[in-house]
Amino acid sequence: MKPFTLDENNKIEHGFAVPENYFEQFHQIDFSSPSPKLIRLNPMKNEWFWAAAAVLAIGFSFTYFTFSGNDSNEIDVQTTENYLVYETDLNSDELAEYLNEEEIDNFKLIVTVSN
Amino acid sequence: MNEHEFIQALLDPQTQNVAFQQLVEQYQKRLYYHIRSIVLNHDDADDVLQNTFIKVFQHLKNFKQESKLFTWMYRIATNEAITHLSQKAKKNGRSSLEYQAFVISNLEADVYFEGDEIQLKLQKAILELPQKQQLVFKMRYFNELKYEEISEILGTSVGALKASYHHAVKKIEIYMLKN
Repeated sequence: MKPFTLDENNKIEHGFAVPENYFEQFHQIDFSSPSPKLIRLNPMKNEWFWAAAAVLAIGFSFTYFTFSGNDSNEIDVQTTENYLVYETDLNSDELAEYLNEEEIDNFKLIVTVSN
Repeated sequence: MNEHEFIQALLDPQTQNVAFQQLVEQYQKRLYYHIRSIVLNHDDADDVLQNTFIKVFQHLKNFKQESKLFTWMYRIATNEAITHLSQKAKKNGRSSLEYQAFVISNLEADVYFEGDEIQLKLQKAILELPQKQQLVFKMRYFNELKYEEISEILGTSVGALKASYHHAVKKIEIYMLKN
């Protein structure tokens, strides 16, 4: 039988593995504590990471829908018109006080189409 | 920044946060695998690694810098790992060696062990060695530490370490051949 030799140039590795991103976690010591604790912040597992991500996503969505283009303003005008036309008993003169000429033209068109 | 300046940065409340982060990044991998080679299980290694860094932080002000920071940390890690192992063994009503044998018998089912048949056999062979010989073998063979570094960590002469490693290798080779 061929003798077995532990050749350091053809090493047998230990075979130990670690969880994914284990060494990428951020470590910090809680220096304020009387008995210091090691805090590990895994960016993928930490609940604060996901909370921060959710806040950012909501903030981005809000900014996008509030400030992108003029669509939001037009929807507001449309909603106001619909409200004035269908939900109130205002007559034409009263409506004219609230709407400019362009809005009145649009209103006529909408009324024409709906008729 | 030299080692003395780095230690000062770790002790200074103004800089210790950043310095500690650097310390962990620099040494965690080597310390983890050293600890893991002793306690064998990932969760235990994780606990011991954390305790090691906390102990390093707590005792840094008493570190006389007669040895390198790295070897001093290794010594703390070794002590922590051995203590952890004996505590776990005690809880299980076993000796440390019996407990290690128990962990190794479950190594195949461990999700964090990816070793093949020969790697598993090597772990079993190491287990046959006396505890200090195990340590010397693991530190030299797996962690590739120099004899001078192991000497500082374990407080044993280089000559004794060389002899210990030689005996360990021979015993392992015999085990690997017979099993």
